[in-house]
Amino acid sequence: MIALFVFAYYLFTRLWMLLNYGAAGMGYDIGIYHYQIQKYFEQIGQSVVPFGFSNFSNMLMLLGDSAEIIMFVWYVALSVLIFVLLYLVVRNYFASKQAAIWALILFSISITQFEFFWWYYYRNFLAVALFLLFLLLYHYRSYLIILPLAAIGIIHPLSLAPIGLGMLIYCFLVDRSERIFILASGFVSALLVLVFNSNEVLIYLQELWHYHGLTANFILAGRPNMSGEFVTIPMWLGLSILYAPFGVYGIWIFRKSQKMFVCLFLSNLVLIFLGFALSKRFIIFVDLILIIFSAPVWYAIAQKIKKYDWAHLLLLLFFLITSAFSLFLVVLKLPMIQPFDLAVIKNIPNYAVDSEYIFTDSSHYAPWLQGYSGKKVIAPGMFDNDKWSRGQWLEFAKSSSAQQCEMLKSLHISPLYVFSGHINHVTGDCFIKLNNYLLKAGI
Amino acid sequence: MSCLFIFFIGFGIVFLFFHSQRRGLSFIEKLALSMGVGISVVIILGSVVF
Repeated sequence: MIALFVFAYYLFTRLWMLLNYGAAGMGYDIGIYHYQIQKYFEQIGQSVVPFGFSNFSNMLMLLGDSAEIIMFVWYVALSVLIFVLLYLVVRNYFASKQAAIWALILFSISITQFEFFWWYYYRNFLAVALFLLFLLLYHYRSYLIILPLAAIGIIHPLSLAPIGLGMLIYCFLVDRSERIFILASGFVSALLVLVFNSNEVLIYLQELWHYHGLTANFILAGRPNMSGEFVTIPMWLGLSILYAPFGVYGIWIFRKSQKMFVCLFLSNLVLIFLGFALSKRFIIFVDLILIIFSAPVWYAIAQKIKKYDWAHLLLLLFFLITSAFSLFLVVLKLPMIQPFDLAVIKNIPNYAVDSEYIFTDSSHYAPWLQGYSGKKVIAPGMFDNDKWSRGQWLEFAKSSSAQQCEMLKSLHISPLYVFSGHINHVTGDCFIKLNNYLLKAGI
Repeated sequence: MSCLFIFFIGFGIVFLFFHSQRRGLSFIEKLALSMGVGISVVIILGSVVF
């Protein structure tokens, strides 16, 4: 009964933005995924480098799904799968249904988990589901763990780094037969990833080598996206106050019986503090492990105060208020762009019929344009059609309108359409205003 | 349609592995394992096909 209520609450928080604002209600990665999924027919017969996610979306397209079904129905279905898998993982590892329900409660009201869902990091989201599947299959010591591990390596190779590191450390803490099981499964998974996703893995390895694997170096080279672009550590600590201290305490209590989790927790933590590429995304794995370990602690607290009616009531009241506060934050969340903005972007092909390009100096709007405008997007440091260096983009941003016109002329694209959203600064005299959002450069 | 396809692929594999080892899985466990394994297989197949 409680589990059903928690599930209803969870589903409501996951559907709220989608039902209220549609695609505009999610984080701007949705534009990039829409673009990639739509490229299905272009990608037949050729390798999908460097975006392993296409291996998932293309297969679904092949099975008859539309881009919208993959983007929304499958995404919500995955969030349900994560919910169920989390329940099963906690129930099996701690042999307690009540602890599993506590994990669901904490997971549902976690704003970090909601933000992760909302930002629409689809392949990372898939990796989280597969990580939980790996944990569940590992509980059964089944060689089927090869499948989720290989799938993570194909979909999102960097998510495999903390798992691989954690399991490697764990190898030293187990007996010979289990060590063989882990190493054999790990080896076969790695082989599958290298054989089937070698192109993407090689690109990642080259980049990690070049930038010494550190986020700071990627940022210096003008690639802040390699930080993982998720919540900051102080913000995450603030948001996870309800379970992080209890999770740490749980890890300490169960450190001997749940060594694998301890290794996975520490490997993620080490990579985050070293500032490894995409390390901010590892926060979600740490957050999940803390939820898993705080659940039996919260359950033990509830059991201890069971005999005191007032304390029980207080605990119930505390969680009701926390859930209400969490719900309040979800309901009050504003989308990054308004549905009307997205409607205008979708309508761009009707205005810009005589050009295949669209220009924007806003990295905020660029992913939406990429996904929904049907045009090749020229945007600062993004996508395949980026025409300028970082220095030139900075120069463009600082220039006067006359200078901006000159710089746009140097692109030799005529006519050039410019998307001028609410936060766009392009206002030069060489533009004709088509509507409140779209300009046409008379060059 | 695709969901059913993925489920049955996953279910087939989970059934083969777990039934042979006589492990009692609950209904919800069978469902989640089948979907998860099915999705994993589809991703690996996708990397083979495309």
